This record gives sequence, C-alpha cells and structure tokens, in this order.
Amino acid sequence: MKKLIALKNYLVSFKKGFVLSIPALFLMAGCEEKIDIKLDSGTSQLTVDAWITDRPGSQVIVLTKTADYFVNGTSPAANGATVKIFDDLGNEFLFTEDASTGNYIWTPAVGDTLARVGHNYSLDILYEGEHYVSETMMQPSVVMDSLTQFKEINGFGTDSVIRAEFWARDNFGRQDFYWIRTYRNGTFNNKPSAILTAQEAAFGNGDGFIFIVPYRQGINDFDKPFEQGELVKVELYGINENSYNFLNQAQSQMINGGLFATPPYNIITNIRNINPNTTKTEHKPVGWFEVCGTAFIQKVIE
Amino acid sequence: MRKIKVITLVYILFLVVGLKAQAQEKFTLSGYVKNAKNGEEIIGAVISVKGTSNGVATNPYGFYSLTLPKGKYTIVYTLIGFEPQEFEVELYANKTNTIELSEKNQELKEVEIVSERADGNVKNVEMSVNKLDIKTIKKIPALLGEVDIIRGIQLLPGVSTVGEGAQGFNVRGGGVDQNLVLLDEAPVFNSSHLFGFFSVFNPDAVKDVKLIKGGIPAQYGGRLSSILDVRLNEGNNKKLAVNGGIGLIFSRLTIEAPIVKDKCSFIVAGRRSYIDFLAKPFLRDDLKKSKFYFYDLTAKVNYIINDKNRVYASGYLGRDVFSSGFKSNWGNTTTTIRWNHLFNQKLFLNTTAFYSNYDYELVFGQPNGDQFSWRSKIINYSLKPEFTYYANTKNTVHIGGQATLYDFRPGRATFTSGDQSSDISLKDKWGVESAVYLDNEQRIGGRITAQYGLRYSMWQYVGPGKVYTYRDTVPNISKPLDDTTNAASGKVIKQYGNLEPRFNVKFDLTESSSIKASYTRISQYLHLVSNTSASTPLDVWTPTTNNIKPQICDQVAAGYFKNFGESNNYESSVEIYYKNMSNQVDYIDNANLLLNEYIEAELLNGKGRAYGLELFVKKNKGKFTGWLSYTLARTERKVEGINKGDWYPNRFDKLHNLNLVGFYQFNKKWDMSATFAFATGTPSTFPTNRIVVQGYIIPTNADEKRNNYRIPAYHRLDLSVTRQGKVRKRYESFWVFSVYNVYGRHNAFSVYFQQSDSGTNSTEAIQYSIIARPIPSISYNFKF
Repeated sequence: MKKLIALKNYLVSFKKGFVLSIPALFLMAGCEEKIDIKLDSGTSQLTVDAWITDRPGSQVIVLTKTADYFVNGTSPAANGATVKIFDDLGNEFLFTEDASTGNYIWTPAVGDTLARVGHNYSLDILYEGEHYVSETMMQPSVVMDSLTQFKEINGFGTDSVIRAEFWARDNFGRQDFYWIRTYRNGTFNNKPSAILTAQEAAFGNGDGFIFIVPYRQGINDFDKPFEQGELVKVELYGINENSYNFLNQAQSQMINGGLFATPPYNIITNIRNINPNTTKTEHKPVGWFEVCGTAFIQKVIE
Repeated sequence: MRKIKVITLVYILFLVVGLKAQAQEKFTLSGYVKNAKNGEEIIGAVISVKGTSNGVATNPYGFYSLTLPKGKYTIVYTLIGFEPQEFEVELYANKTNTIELSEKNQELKEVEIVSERADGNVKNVEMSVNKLDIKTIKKIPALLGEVDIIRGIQLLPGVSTVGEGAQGFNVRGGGVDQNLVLLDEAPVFNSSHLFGFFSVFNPDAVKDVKLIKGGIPAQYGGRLSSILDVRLNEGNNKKLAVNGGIGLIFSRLTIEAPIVKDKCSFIVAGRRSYIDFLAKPFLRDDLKKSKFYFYDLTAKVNYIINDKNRVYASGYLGRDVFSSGFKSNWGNTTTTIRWNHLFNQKLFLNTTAFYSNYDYELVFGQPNGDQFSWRSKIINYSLKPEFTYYANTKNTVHIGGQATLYDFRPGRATFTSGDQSSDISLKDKWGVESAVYLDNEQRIGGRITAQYGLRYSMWQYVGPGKVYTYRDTVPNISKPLDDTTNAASGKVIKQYGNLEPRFNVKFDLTESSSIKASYTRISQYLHLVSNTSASTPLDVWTPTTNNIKPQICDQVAAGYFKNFGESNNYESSVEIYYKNMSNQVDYIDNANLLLNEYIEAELLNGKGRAYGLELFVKKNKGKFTGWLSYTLARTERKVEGINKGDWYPNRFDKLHNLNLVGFYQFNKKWDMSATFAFATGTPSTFPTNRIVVQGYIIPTNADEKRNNYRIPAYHRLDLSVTRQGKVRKRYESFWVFSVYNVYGRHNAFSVYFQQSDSGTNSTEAIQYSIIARPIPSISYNFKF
C-alpha cells in the first residue's frame, strides 16, 4: 500500500526553502524576471472542464479550445456541442449552451441534485462531428468538524501572524482522496501553488483519524496571513484517485521552475474520443470530468 | 570465446615484455623524487638519460624505476618549476637514488602553469587528459575569492556544467553521475558543497588533480565519462607548516608537520563556511532562522617503515547543513589506507583499501508534533591491489584488481504523530563490483608509443533483498508489477560481466608534434536517479539490478598535439571524439522517484551519443600566461516514449563552449587574472498551448517535443588581483580581490512559465538567474 502521505507537501516546502535560500547565499544576487519569448503554435484541442458537485444550484461544464500559451484573454469557446451526463439509474441530464460563452448548464429543481455518492456517471459530448466520452464514480466527502485560528510567531519572534486550521476526520474503511479548496472573502484561491490534495489525509490507512497538520494548516497562504474580519471558507471535495493525480500533475506543470524543475510533460485526461483510432491531435481531447461529494466550513477571522 | 580472447591477449603482452627484457644485460636504477622544501613525493617528475629520449615518470607515490643496459649514464631529473638535477651513475649493478628537487629561485620565478615536463602534452601517450597544477587553480579568479578545483576544471575543453547552482560537472556529453571522482582513490558520490558553488576538495590539502576524459587506462573503470583523480598532500616531513585563509564565505586552516622527521608526517586541513550569518540581514522574515553552511576536514598521515614498505592513511569528512523550517544535512565520508611495497627495484605493489559513504538526512516537523524523517546512504568498501612492473625502458606493466561491496540504503523513513508512527522505509540493496585488469605502456620503435590494456568488470546484484519483476508496457507509463520474491542473503540475483578493451597510441611527427588516437570501452553499474534540471543532494544512487542494465560506453578519440615557441612555452591540441552510450537511464512522465519501492517501474532505457571537437592553446611561461579552450559538441538521447522516439538534445547539450583564462604578473607584488566563459544556452522544453480547467492555466506541448527551445546563452567575465604581502621571516601572506560576473550578466539557469498574478487569463515566461550581479570579494591568505 502507498503510504507516502503528505511527503509531497513536505518536499514542496523543502524545495521552496532551497529556492529562496540560494539567492540569499549570494546576498540576493539572484533574480527572476519576466522575459519575452516567442513560442510556436501547437495544434488546438477540445478542452473539457467538467467538475460536477452535489452543491445546490446550477452545474456548469465549460468547453473551450486550447489556445496558444501566450494568448491574450480567454480561450475560444467551443460552441454548438451537445453535452449530456447519464447516471447508472437511467437518468439523462442535458446541459444546455449558454449563448456564446461555451458554458453548458444544467439547473436542477430546488433541493434536487444529479450527484449521488457511489453512483456511476458518464459524460457524453458531440462536437464538430467527433464523439467524446468519459466516466467516473462519485466519491463522498467527510464531515468537517471545525475551523479554528491561531497565532504564529514569525522570524525573530517579534511579529505574530494569524493562521487558520480546519479539523476533520478521515472516512472509515475506505481509501480516500480529497481536494481541499480555500476561499477568502468569497474568492477561490486559484494560485497553482495553493492546490492542496490529500491521499488518506490521516495516519496509516487514515481510518477515523484526524487529518494531519500539513492538510489542516495547508489552507494558509504563507506570504499573505489572514487578517481580522476576513471570511475564510474551506471546501473539501471527495475525489477519485485519478482526479487526485490530475490535480497534482496540473500543479507540477504550473509550478515547474528553478533547480528542481523536471522535464515538462502533458498531463493526463479522462476524456477520450470514442474512436480509438483517431490519429489527428486536433481530435484528441484534453481536460477532466469528475463528480464530487463536497463539504464546507467557514469562519470570520477574529 | 571471451575467455579465450583474454588469455590470448595476456600471452601476447607477456611475450612482448619478456622478449624485450631478455635481449641484453641490464640493470635498474630506482628511487623516489621529492620536493626539497617539504619532503612531499612528486608525481610525474621525469627521469631520463641525458641526450636520449629514454625516460620514465614518477608514479603517484613518487617512485620511479629505470632499467638500462650496463653502462655509464648521466641521469636528468626534471620537473617544471623545479631546478633540474643531474646524477652520474655507473650502472654495473642495480642502484637506488632518491633525490630532492628544489623549486626554482623565487627571484627569477616566472609564472608557469604546467606540472610535469614542458613537452608532456606532445610526448605522453595519454590523450584527453587534463592536469591542472594546484598553483594554477589558485590563480584563477574565484567566486567569493575561494579557489575551487571543480570550478577550475570547468574551464577546460570538454568540461561543462548545467549552470550556477548545479552540482557536479559534465564531461564530453556525459551526466554528472558518469564521472568517477576519486579522493585518494576513494570515490566521492557528491563532489559539491552548497549546491555546486564549491567542491568538496580543500585546495590547500590537494597535491595533484588529473582529469581523464578519454583513452582511459585499464586501471580505471566504473563510470562512463571521466575520471577525476585527486591526490592529497602527504604532509610536510621537514618542518611544521601552517597555511590558511580568511574569506567572505569561509575560512580555512591547514597544519602539516613531521612526526618523525623524514619518516612520518601528517596534514590536517579544515574549512567552515559562515555565509548564513552574513546573509541573515538580507533574508525574508520567515527565512531568518535558516541555516546553511558546510564544513569539511581532510587529514592524512604517512609512515615510511623501511626502504621497501610505506603506509598512508587518509580521510575526508564533509557535511552541508541546510535548515529552514526543516532540517537537512548531507555529506561524504571517506577513509583510505594504502600500503606501498617494493618487491624489488622493478616490481612495485600498491594495495589500497577504502571506505566511502555518502548520506543525507531530512527531517520535517517537530519531535512532539507531526514529524517526518528520511535518511539515505550509499556505503562502499573496497580492496584494490595493483602491481607495477617496470620491465625495461620500453615497457611498464600494470596488473591489478578491485573488489567493492556496496550497501545501498535508498530510504529509511518514518512518520510520527504523537505516539503513532508509520515506517515507510525502503529495503536495502546490495551489490558487488569487481574487476581485474592488465595494462602495458610500450614504446615501439623511436616514434610510436602504445598503451593497451584490458579490463574485465563484473557486477553482482546480491541478496538479501526484494526482487521485482515487471511486465513490459507502452513506453512512458509505469510498468505493471508482475511478481515479487525475496532473495536470501548472499544470493546472486543478477550478474553482468563486461570486457573492456582500452587502447591508446601516439605517433611522433616531429620533436614537437604528435598525433594520438584512443579507443575506450567502459561500463557503469551505479546510476544516479534524478530527473531534475540540476542534480540535488537528495538524489539516490541505485544499483544495476535485474531491471536496470549496466551502462556501456564506447569512445573513440583522435588528436593532434603541437608545442611551439621558445622552450615549448606554447602548447596546443585539437581532439575529436565520438561516444556511443547504451542503457542510459531516463524517466517516464511524472515519475515518482522519491521513496518509491517500485522506482524501477518508472525508469526508461535509452541510448545516447555525443561527439565533438576540442581545441586548446596554452601559454606556459612569461609575464603573461593562460589558455584558450573551445569545445564544439553535441550530446543527444533517443528513448522510446520520449520525443516520439526521436533523438533529442540532452539537458546539458551546449554546442559552443569557450573559455579564456589569462594571468598577468606585473611585478613581484601584484598579479592579475581574468577568465571569460561563453556557452550556448542549454535546451529546455517549452509549452505551445494552454489548457484551462477550474481557473488554472496548464501548459501543454501539443506535439510532445522534448527540449524544443534553448535558454539564452551564458557568458561571464571574472577578474582577480592578488597582492603579495611582505615576507617576514617565514611568514608570507597575500590578499586576493576578485569580482565574479564583472558586468552583471543575468545568466539564465532556466526559463519557466506561469500564470501571472495580475490577471486570471495571462501567462508569462520567467527567466531564473542564480547570480545576476557582480559579486565582489576579498580574502586574506597566509602561510608560515
């Protein structure tokens, strides 16, 4: 069994320490500067961004085309697709296109949801004559116990800053994967470095134990401590192992600089063209489909 | 078949040696050559018969043996920088003569930057070898004023580095793990301190540095690309001597003295850095508690038991400490014991036993809270006897062997949280590397000298251990595990053997020019598993196993060597080489190389090729000395599953690499030196497109090209000025003022891509430079 709990997070802090300290060695002689580079254009591919949750309200699937890496503005919308989700209970959910944005939306009746823990879902997209599909099984989240705050002494012990910590126990009797998402004053922290994922968030096989510190406190932005009056919200998505891999790969490709950079690679996708023999890159989709169980907890910093 | 070949070769060799030896009545003159000032044995001093080209050089222990037909001779002992000495001998019986050479008169001293004979470049059979005199290394402008051996050799043709902050060095298109770095014969697994800015060698304790890039003699093996053979001083056996320096980054002190005059002496050298104290005011608040420093201690003692026996013991202990919210430290430890035994004047035996260890430790968290600790080690014990038989003036034979036991401890790791703990350690691995070799250096006629040899190396991957079998799969995804079995202690799980022929030949064109050619086959059984841009202290060495095959390299090289000018004060060479490398280790996408029990499933097997041209011109004497080194080279890989299976440039591929080094002596008090380096930017993989998911902009390379771009070219100028202090009695001192990166070039280490902080939809390219401004420094050095 894989027991490399939290190792990744530890190593991220090690690398960060390394990268920040090396310039200091030479009295801040190092530098990171923005430069202009002209990159080649690559083949454009259909991107699927389909993270469905059990939260009340509309569910959105965004279809775009991959743009050049240095494009100005948003990626072009993939319009005119037919987008459906099927569950294993025989239901069909049709996502209708919002005028020209490339957002495909399904709105449930009040109190209803399409996402039920343990059920299988398949995504079905018809776009420009190609048929794309994906499957997943919905995983549960856990009950979040509380969100607390504490003071941390910084540097030489003169300043203290406010840090937050959430408390939860790992599920019993199963292998769990989580995506821990943080919001400050209602804004989702989409910094790539802030992507926090966990495999068995507690010790051993995780069962019933409290999440360990790197997860409980991983919601803090170390460069920007919380301030009094701020609303902090932590969401916990229960996800599948391959979604956990997807998020980690995405993160590793978005923050792959410095001495510890590894050769870049193209991250995985769970969307596939129904025609397995398609050879054209433009007919190979990218992106992700997942149906998540969710939990959240929030607090105003005192 | 193979065995037969070996035996045949051995026979031929002895036949040649034997026949020549029987021809005439001959006697042997042997002895040691020492430095009159401190009693140190001199490596590579040339002993020749006046008026002829017959001669030998002293071996690494200062020993020589010259066998000549009965007669009266004038023997000349020469070494650059030393007064030559003549010795009249009537050789009607075997004789010994140990002599001491004096350094040339200080008053008349010109700067000379070669060791050995002035025409060694042309006259020695070895090629693709660079020797850097420690005195020369000390004159090169140094980063933060501290001279460094590895930074010095990076100015030689065929040697490069990925960039500042990268550990180790690359030789002729090989990886950093393909260099065998020897400190008094014990391998050093991580030759760097402080992420490659300094090397583990304390220059004050080093006697001799030799880098072999090709035409590698049969005595050496185990790494594909080069041998860096560093030998330590024995210690002054005439009087107490102290040598030291105080610099911005570290201070050093060396003490050497006789224990029993002319019989037994020692040297102890230590260094300790303190840059973390000096850097503190510049650190961010959350890094104020950071520590980063290193220390090392080098020591050696030798004892002359009698004329026939001598023992040496040397050791090295070094450690880097780095903590910043976590604690980590790493370092090498080596111990070497050597015994020289003379059976007779013609047969010299050296037996070396060594222990070498590289380990690191990483601890996160608090002892009372959650804690994670990880330790990794590679330990090896080795025994290495070597006979040198000075058959006659035409043949010198080396016969020897080596057996090494390796203990790999890839990771002993635990997580603790209060009273719960979980052990995620990896199983230890064991291996035995052994080799036997035979090598002869032979003069054939007046113009041709050949060195030919054969090495047979063997690797045994032995138990106790877990043996994994994997199924083949599509290249570039993790191989599925098929089966796991346990191997008992001592059981040979997998064995590999390789026959490694070595051949060097030199043909004298004129008195001052020659052409040389060489062929080397060499194999490597240890692999450094690392897929980061620069190798890091946390990389793990892994053995050849049932899943990882030994790396093999065939290299051919040819060169033209020419000396010119008055008394050979210019030397020059042009060399070309081609290398073919098999079983190169590469990695699947998103490989998990840390604490992974199934690490072998993440590795790919590829092939490599490297070729190039090296140009070297050096001025050895005069007020102005220095060299120009230029390398035009390519190094590429082909791995199923990477770059669509096509050849692509290696991470450390640099088409052009130019180094200019100049020294100028104004007067007795002041001298100056400058270096200029230029190199093509290293290749890097840049994205073409972006994937937008959940507000994240993920880079992607739609056509899967590896290393499709290059970062900007590297260039840098360094200057240094040395001012000699007044000599008071025995006390000598000098100041070194230097500036590294004089014009403040922002040399890119890497270019990476990221989402901009400002807008949600914008992305940017960031150039990361480790040193982007001039770095001035000052250091004070003394000796008495």
